[in-house]
Amino acid sequence: MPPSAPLPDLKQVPLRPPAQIMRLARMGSFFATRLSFMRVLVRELMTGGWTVARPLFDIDAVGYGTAVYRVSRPGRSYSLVAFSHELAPELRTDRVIAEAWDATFALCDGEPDAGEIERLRQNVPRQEAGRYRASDIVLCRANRSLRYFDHVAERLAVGLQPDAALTREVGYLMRTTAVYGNGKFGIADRSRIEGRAELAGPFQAEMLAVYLVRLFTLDLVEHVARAKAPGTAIALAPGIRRYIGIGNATGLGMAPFLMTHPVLIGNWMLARETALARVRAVAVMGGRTRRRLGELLLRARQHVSQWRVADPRQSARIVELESDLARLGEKIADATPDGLYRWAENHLGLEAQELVVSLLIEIFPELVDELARHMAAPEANRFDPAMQMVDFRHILERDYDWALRIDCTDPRQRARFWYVSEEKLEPRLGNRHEEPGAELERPFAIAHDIQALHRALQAEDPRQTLAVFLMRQPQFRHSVRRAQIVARHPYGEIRDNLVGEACLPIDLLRCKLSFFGASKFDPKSDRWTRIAMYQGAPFPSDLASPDADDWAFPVLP
Amino acid sequence: MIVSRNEIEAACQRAALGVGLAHGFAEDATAIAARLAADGEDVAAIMLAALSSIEENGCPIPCFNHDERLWRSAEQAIVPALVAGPCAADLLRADPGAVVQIGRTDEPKVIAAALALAGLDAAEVPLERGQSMRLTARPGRPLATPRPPAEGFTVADAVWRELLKLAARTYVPASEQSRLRGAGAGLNDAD
Repeated sequence: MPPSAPLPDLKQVPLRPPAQIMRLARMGSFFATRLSFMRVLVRELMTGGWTVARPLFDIDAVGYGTAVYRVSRPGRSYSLVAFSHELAPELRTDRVIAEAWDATFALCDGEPDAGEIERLRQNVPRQEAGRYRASDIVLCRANRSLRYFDHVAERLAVGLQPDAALTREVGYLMRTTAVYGNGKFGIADRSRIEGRAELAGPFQAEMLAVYLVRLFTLDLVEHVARAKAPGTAIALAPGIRRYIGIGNATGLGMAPFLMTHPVLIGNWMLARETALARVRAVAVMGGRTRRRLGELLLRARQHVSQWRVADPRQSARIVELESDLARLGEKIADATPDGLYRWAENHLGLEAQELVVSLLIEIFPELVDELARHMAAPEANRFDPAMQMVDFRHILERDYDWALRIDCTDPRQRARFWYVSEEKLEPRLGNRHEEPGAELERPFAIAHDIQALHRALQAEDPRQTLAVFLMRQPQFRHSVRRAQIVARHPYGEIRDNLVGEACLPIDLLRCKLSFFGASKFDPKSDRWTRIAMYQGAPFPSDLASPDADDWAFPVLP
Repeated sequence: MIVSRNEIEAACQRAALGVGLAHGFAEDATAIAARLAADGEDVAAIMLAALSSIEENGCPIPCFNHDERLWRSAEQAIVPALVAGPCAADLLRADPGAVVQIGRTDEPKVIAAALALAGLDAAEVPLERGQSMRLTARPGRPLATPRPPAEGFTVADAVWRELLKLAARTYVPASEQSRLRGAGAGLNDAD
């Protein structure tokens, strides 16, 4: 079955409506699920016959040098080429505008020879300033956690495990600060790899690169510790090693994707909502499944208890979540999945509601996992120019009622504008009333554009076609196309004003990152967050274990 | 130099905005560029010529006027293909009995690509510049999914630089305020 085939028609309750789901406050409460892309990648590694090797580890005593990690099976292989560099402290920043990093990486097709590695060495450490070939699939970089990397190396060198509190607090040795795929700087277009089953799902190449980066960071810190004190150094304890993930720091760079890919986002959401709807249709939960739910809830509570951040808003939400999960624990003894969900929706906060979604999805892999194959989609650019104005106006008023209700005369509803900075083409958000550049804003004032379009429709002959209307009023062309896409993909539009004063871009980031499979969201502002990835994920040596896929809500033992 | 399809698409979309095309036409320009690239055309040169023509000749709105079901461009005007192509495709798809007549256009291959993307037969498009054309709605062959060549697309350095210059018009200049506030990084982003 191709990835974009229609969803199989299994028993399910009605889907939660887009008007409920596609709101920033709820999207900003999402947790990873077993449909998240890291989970999908690990299942592929478990079942696809892949092996992981480290054919090169030419790293010096302080941790600088080159390494190669290879993932292969007969007929196909990928290699992560890692360069670890000395970095002056004053150059270390997680911002996209950085120009040097502790480590830089390229995921390549096949097995690079010495000449290829040398070519990559000339380019990869320069990241955006380098040029790449179609055999390079992903480009990324990472910085060491100043709080944690040296601490771990020093403790291991003297035969001690890292401090538990610091391990919980940080949870990774390095943070990636950008992961580029799909043709950036000359690397492979997605169309080159999307026909391969293992990379057909969204962001699977990027997830593979980051999985291997995590291995590299763990090997690196143990290597540095051994080099410091060969006589006394020890390896990380297995439980701690497995807990340590790879960090990521991300800003607005990933937010526009949610607005520019309505078909894809619609598919992600539809798969997630379909999974929940299928699970809620299960009338009787067997004893084994109920025990599994209880165990998972306990683990989730422990996970949340280890989730500590400085951000006051998120801290308050975590406190509420802990309280909600304690109440949830009293309800799982005899509730059906639907009963449990509906109780959560009626009694708990948004974070807890969405955590319940992740829990319920987690315990029914047989109903859920195949949905991952339906999450990829090409963006459809075509629209129907034969549609008459009367019909178009109907879908506009049906799908954009939320936009038509906004008071666009209120300056607060147009307080922001999204733009691209000339600095590394970084996406940014400006204050319309204070900063220059609003004339170059990206078309994310969607509610405002829809209102203007709706007003223009009033003056048109209702039997007129969109073709004629748009030839005369081309300024509405993108909004018409968008509205027609959303009519087919109702989960493809965020139903909030993205340029309003109240918009919190951090909600966009969390939503997208939850689909990646991130955890421990740690906001640093309303438009910047740190996260952990692959905490608790199985290592290559664990992939054959029957419980290798059981790493939701990771906890430090 | 060798560039990826994504780079071509991004550059053409931004350059289209850079010369003042509406967002919707810039989206069309992206798809047209991808189509031209997949067809093995010198996509960067064609797109740069089409965009430069808009700079020089302007962009009449609407690009066609009609007499019953015959849609015609103005006699003397050079109709920008990046606008006329998508509009002609729309009109023909909306009314399969319509006829679109274009007197002069800048880049006929852009019009052919726009028709092909709409599932229409582009055989009526003369591929020499300056020739008039009469378009009707005949179904085209289904488009195969374009696959990029193994090593990306070759573009002339000078042409690519010009495209990027047009694209750069859409970028907001750097400023300290933008750097500090626009992306939202905390001050402690390196600990």
